[in-house]
Amino acid sequence: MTNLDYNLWIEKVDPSWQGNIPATLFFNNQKKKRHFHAGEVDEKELETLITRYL
Amino acid sequence: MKKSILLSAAGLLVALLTVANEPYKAGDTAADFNLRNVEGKMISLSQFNDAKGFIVVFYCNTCPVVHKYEQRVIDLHREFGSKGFPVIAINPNDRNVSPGDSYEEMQKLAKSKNYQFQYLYDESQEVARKYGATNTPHVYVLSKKGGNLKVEYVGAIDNNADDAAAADKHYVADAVNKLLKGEQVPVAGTKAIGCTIKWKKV
Repeated sequence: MTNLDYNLWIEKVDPSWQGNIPATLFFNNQKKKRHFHAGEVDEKELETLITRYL
Repeated sequence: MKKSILLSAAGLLVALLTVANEPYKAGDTAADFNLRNVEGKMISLSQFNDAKGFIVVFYCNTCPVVHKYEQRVIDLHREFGSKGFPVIAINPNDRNVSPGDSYEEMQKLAKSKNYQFQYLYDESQEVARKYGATNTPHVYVLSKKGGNLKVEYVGAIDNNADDAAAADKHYVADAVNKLLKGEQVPVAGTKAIGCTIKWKKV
């Protein structure tokens, strides 16, 4: 994540990501689950997302 | 009763459909706007009779990525403003979510840094939504074609946010230089790193 040529890798993280930060990638390889969220999340939203996607 | 619920649901759907639109990409026609600048004047792109186009950049006071690009935005205006492509910076951040991005703070910053480019306040966030901007800085290069504004490029200023000198792809400058020569813009769009726009809490 230290490659400063962001255009090279933003789309590889998730094609829907427009480059806005903060952004969070949720993944659980054992359950084969993956969810990408662009933008801010508060603590409650974060908990909801973790419960839903992991 | 049931009918009225159904009708209001349909109305809501229509409202949602009219609000949500696809983000602008190269080839689209951009809408003009009417926004207050830091001097209190209402600014529209149609007022710039001598302009050949515009470097519209969604911008703000508080984002660290904007800070890294600030001098480059100043330089873009210095280089291209007189050639017919002025920088038009637009702050879409909600002042309640981000108090440092209030109109008064914009005025202070523009004054202290002696901004020569227009710095406009998109208080309703309608312009950012219409353009499909997601972050700051987020650039839209527009050219005047007939009576319309054509989107020529959307994305990052260059390919190194941290170090201007280390950037070797100058997307915005390259696009404008090509347009000045009447040539095709080489890169239509990139993904720009930047702070998410501080949307109003609903």
